[in-house]
Amino acid sequence: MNDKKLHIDPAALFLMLGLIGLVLFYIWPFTLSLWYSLLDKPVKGSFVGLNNFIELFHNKSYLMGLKNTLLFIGVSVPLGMILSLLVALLIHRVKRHKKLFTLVFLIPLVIPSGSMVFFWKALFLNEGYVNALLNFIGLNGVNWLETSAALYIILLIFLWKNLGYNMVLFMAGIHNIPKEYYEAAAVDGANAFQTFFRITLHCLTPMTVLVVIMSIINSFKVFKEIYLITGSYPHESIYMLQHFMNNMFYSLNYQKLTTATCILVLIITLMVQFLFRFERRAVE
Amino acid sequence: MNKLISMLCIAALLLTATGCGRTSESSVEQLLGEELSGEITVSCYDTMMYKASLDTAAKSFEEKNPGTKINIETYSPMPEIKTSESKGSSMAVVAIKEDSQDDTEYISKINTELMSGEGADILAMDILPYYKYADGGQLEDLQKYMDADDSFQLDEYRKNIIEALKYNGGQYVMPMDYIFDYIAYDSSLFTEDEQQKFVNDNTFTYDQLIKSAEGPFHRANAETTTPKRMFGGSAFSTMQPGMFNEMMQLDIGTFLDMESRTANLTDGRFAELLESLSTYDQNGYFLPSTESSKSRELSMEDFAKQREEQLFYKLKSHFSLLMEALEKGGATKVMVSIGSMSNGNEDHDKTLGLLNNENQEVPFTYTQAYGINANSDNKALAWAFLKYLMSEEMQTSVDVGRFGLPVNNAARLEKAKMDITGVSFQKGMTSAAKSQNGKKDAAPNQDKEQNQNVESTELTESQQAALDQYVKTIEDFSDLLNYCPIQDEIVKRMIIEEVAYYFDGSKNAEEVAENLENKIELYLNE
Repeated sequence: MNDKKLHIDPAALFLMLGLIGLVLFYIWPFTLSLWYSLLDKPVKGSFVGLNNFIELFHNKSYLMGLKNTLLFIGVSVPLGMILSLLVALLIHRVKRHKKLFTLVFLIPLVIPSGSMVFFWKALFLNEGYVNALLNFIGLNGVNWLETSAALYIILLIFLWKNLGYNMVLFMAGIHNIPKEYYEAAAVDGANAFQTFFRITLHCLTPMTVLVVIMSIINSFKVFKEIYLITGSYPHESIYMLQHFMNNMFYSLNYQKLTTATCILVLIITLMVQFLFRFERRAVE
Repeated sequence: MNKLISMLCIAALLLTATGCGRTSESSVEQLLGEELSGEITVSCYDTMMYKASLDTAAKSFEEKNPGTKINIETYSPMPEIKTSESKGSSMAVVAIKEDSQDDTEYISKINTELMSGEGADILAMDILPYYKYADGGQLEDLQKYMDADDSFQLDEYRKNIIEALKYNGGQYVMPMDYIFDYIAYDSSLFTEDEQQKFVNDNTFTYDQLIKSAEGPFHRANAETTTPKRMFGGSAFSTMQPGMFNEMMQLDIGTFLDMESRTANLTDGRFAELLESLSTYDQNGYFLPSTESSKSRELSMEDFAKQREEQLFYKLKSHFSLLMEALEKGGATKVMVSIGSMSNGNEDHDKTLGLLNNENQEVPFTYTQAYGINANSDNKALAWAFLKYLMSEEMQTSVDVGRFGLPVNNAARLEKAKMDITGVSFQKGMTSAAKSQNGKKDAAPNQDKEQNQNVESTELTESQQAALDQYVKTIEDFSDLLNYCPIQDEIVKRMIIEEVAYYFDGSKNAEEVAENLENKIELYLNE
């Protein structure tokens, strides 16, 4: 009878620590958010089913934030990927000063956002350097941060900040592609175009999925800069979901905040699921 | 599994809220039948207008209702009062610091308390965006209390003032007093014929005023090298919004509809407002921006300089009507200048009327107004205290020291009499001296003697005439008031920041109107 000893796999103990952290810091707060999103008020609230979700989808500001966020992701992520892949390929081909070039693109990653905000403001404020330069060459200045041009500025900040990070990921991916593939392609008479699409891009698929996921996450993080430059209510073209959520946090509207969080989690989960499926199919 | 998820979703959709924080009409009647006891808290942002006044009222209420306790909480620091003297005249400047950081912190504090189901029982609506709380069900609809309480008769109060504060059909805010501005003109700058054109009207739009003064303006300025302006404010500056602020406040109801959460700034009227302001500014109708934006604090020299300026129109506080009446009644001349507008030389001033907008809205505002927290555990006591603040006794009390006109009809007339005879000021000074020196306990007999002296003051013939004139003007003007714009500090800041782009030339009027409309709607619909 006693021969049957309770056997615990040591791996489970190690995993347990991670699991506790995951439950405590991610699953539990999210469950709490989900519960709040089904109530009419946080204290002594009544259960209202999906009313908060229905109301949120009738909220003009939320819909604008959602539209702008999706538009920003739709433009910034592909653009960022194309540019970082291009730079990664160029640096991969460079024979001299490879480390220096890599370092230059990585510098934005280590500069704190707060200090960079002064720089961006000095450049793009109405009385900033860019407008001074435009006036100097006889052109009219643009109120960059208070017109629809603000979207381009935010796009520029996103690319400046994340190009280096994506580039390093792509460089690692390119480095891992066996040289034999290229040699075999050359023997078979493949041109540069075919080599790029059939070998480089194909072999970079897992890395591309990772870069897409990281870019989407980083595209949400650009809010920090937008907020520091333009405040809680920026020009409508750069009003993001995070503005909505941040403003709801400050006005202590927990219902809208938690409902918006749940929808955001749902969207990100679906996106990531789709990307993993895409990766699996592409590799197969 | 899919079927199960679908069923769960449908079930969740079918479940709707039935709970409600606000008190129903039947329970209000029940509440009003309860005996007053326990403790409530009144929370206000502004200290100057509320603290001393509420402390006095609370003390008096507690004495009359043993077993009750009223706590008063205020947030902002007391303003700095600077006095200066020159050539026998003295000047007191009250500098109120507007700190947007403090405003935001106070609003956040109230939000946190309300969201956690707590908060003060009575909230002063000095800077709080009450329409948001009313929409969120965090304020009691006082109409139910007014209807259910037999001791409250709306006819005893200024009905038009109370009803102008209704929001979405509910009375969430109860004003204790009201203030308004009126227009006066310098009769020495207009001919008799020109003045006759004003006689038939008692409300004017800015456009009407400016058109009427264009001829006299050109004539007066052709004769002299010292420019004579139409108004004593600058067109716009971020420090002192001046004429833009005045004109915008008048028209705010046509541009913003807080009830439907919409902004209508792109139909051309807002752009027209900005453009006409620029044109008027270029024509020299307003003070140059650089002169009036230097500092908010007036020195004796500035004041003397302002007194020499001749202005066609002046926007005066209702308090100036009292000062004029006092002068007619034989009292020493006291001049009051409020805000950033200069009153200029007042020697030839005549009262003209009130400002209105295209929709015939005649605005006013208040110094004190309150709402009852829907989460309050002692709503009966909160309502009783509000009623007490509106009573004739409290509204005429000099110790409560009200700057605005009382909403209580009897109190307004009584206070006018006390003001004209100088009783208010003598009593006010006595109570101020008492509070400063702590004399109350030391010399009670002396106080009694003083009170008897001031109370026995009878009206002289000239004072009676001045009182009649004053009361008639005040009541005539008060009858016209019908609109109290909802204040929202965030919207106010958005407007100032965006309009600054028009006046610094970086955006045209249409761009400003479009951006502002988008931003305000974004905020209102969040």
